[in-house]
Amino acid sequence: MTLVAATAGITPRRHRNLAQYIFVAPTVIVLALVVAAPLIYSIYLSFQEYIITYGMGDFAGLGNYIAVLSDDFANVSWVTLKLTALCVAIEFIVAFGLALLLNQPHLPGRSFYLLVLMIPVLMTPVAVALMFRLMFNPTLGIVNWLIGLAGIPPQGWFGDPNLALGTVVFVDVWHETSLMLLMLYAGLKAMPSEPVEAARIDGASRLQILLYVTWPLMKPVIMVTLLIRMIAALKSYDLIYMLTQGGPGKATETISFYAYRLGFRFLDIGQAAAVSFILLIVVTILTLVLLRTMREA
Amino acid sequence: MTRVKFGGCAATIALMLAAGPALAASDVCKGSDINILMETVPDTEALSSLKGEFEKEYGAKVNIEAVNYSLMHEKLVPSLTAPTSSYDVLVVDSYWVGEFKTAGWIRDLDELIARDKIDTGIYFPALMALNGKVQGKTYMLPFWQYAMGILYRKDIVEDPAFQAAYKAEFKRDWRLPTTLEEFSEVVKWAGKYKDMHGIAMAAQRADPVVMEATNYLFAEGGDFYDRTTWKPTMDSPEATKAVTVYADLLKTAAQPGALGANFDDVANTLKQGKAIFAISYLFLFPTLEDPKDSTVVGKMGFAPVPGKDSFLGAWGWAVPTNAKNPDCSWEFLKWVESKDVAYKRALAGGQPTQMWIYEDAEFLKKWPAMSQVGTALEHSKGLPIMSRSTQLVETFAEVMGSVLANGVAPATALEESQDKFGRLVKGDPLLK
Repeated sequence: MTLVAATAGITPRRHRNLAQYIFVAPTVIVLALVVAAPLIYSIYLSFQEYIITYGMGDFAGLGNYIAVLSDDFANVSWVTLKLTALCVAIEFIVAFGLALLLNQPHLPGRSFYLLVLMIPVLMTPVAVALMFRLMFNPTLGIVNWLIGLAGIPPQGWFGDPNLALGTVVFVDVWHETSLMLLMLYAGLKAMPSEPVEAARIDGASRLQILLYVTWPLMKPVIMVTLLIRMIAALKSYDLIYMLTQGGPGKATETISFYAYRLGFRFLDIGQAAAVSFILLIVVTILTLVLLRTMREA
Repeated sequence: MTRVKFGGCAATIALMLAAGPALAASDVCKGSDINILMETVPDTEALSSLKGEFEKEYGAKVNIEAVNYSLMHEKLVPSLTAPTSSYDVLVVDSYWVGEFKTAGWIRDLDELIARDKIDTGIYFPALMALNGKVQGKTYMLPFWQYAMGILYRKDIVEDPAFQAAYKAEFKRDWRLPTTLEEFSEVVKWAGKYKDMHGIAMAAQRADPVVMEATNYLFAEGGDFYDRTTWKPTMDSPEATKAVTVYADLLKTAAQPGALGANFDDVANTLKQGKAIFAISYLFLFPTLEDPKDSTVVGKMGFAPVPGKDSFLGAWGWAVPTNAKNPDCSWEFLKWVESKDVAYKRALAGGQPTQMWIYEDAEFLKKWPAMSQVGTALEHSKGLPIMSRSTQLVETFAEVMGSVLANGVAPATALEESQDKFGRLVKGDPLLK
């Protein structure tokens, strides 16, 4: 009776619109609580003086942003950029090569290869880091033992500022290439086979097919894959934390690890929030590029 | 028969009366869970093997979460800032003390100590000052000490051939180094002479390098601050010399990868028989003396750090202010620091804080290196107790990182850090 009375006089179209809002409301409310509220609060914190030990202080204005940008930010940004570029480039080359191999017609044992190649991505970063810490251990690790057989002196893989970032990249490539491989392989599988067959009949070589048929058809998938991986690499934290703690010195300190260090070691929540927010802006811009690319694809 | 029955009843009543307060105390824990976050060190293993006794006596379940040191602080802080702590008993590292006190995360224990007549005079005064009292009030009971000193290969340095070569090189009879400079010379020479790593070092950021390098700083007579005016003193010649010696040893005499190594790596290098010296923790001895995975059993010696002072660290038991059941937490503290339990922990490889244990013949027979602890504690000091000492560690780690990894001159790096050290003490309520 009440519902009838309440909806009396509402046109069917307006009724339908109201129903849409009602159905969507629970999702919007949950998202607002778990995503928007913490985000807004962290933006608020980034403008406050807030060291956990002393409690909430005064309004800091842009003070936290100025402090972090004038301190280590240039160094950590450069490290993050190098790490992202190296990881994404190497992982893409390896993953695309493997995807092309797996996509060969009549490849025996394809499922087995795929299963084996998927193992790294199924492992947690912590387990991967522990495994490689042992393998690269300067005095007890198998890597130094192996290079010792070739007469090369033992190296401090995570302790040498010239080697640490490269070693982290190696571990990341081992761990993350599988994900890229999976996405690129799915792209190849979804690609129409007719253009390739037509090119083959026309006498195109394998390289020509790759450059002039496969590559243009795969371009949207490649763009999306690269962007997804790039966004993840920009936020690199777990492997860094487990392998090097950002060291030696600051040779492997990424933006995310810097934010962690400010928040959990310096207990300076204001500055940590400011760094996180800057990173969020960068990632948001990249996400917009990703969405646009996906739309175009 | 009746007399026997009556006697039995009287004895039972007497026993119940005698046990009355104990029963009441143990009741507060019945059905409770006691969660403790601890570091993966021998003392934690020792306590794990004894916790069943507490569970049986008090009807509570003790859950020990043993993690790597680097995870502890970041796990504790969110728990301590929450309305109710996930941890019922805290083990507080000596350089978290000021921070925990200022933030109001730990309870003042003086009233409970007086009520239950706990004798805090049995602890080493240096440890009570470091991990017991803050501004005259008791917040912790010292749990274990991590005195540091020279760990060295006794079998090598006591070898007559080594001593003869030493005499030929240095024109004096063999002696353990008495200054940092002498230590550095001997380490470099001994490494070359034995074709081994002269020293095992742990220069990983942040705690490993700071704990180790602070020994060098204190040995030279340097410090982070003038502890009366709280003016930073890291631009002193002593600090510059300490950092210079440390960087030189790391470059010329340490095991490969020492810049990324922690104390586990130091222990492993020593256990493999690959290094002669280390400035590290006495608590590594149980693992160095473990025949299952050490090749240097019975070959290691311990001596105080040469020079003026060494770095002293310790842990203390505390009750969080947001503990679920603070009465039960206090009962656990009393139990774990009771003489019987403290002694059992010590025999199992712990690092006792109660002085009387170091006079016990059985304990010293099992762990002979422990006889040096008294001397080590006499000439040692901790990091300053200040609200931001955790950040002091990070700041010093940054200085060491720029010297060791980026090749910045020690004097320049230290001079540039003065401002950062100064900011850490600004407005600190503990230093007024």
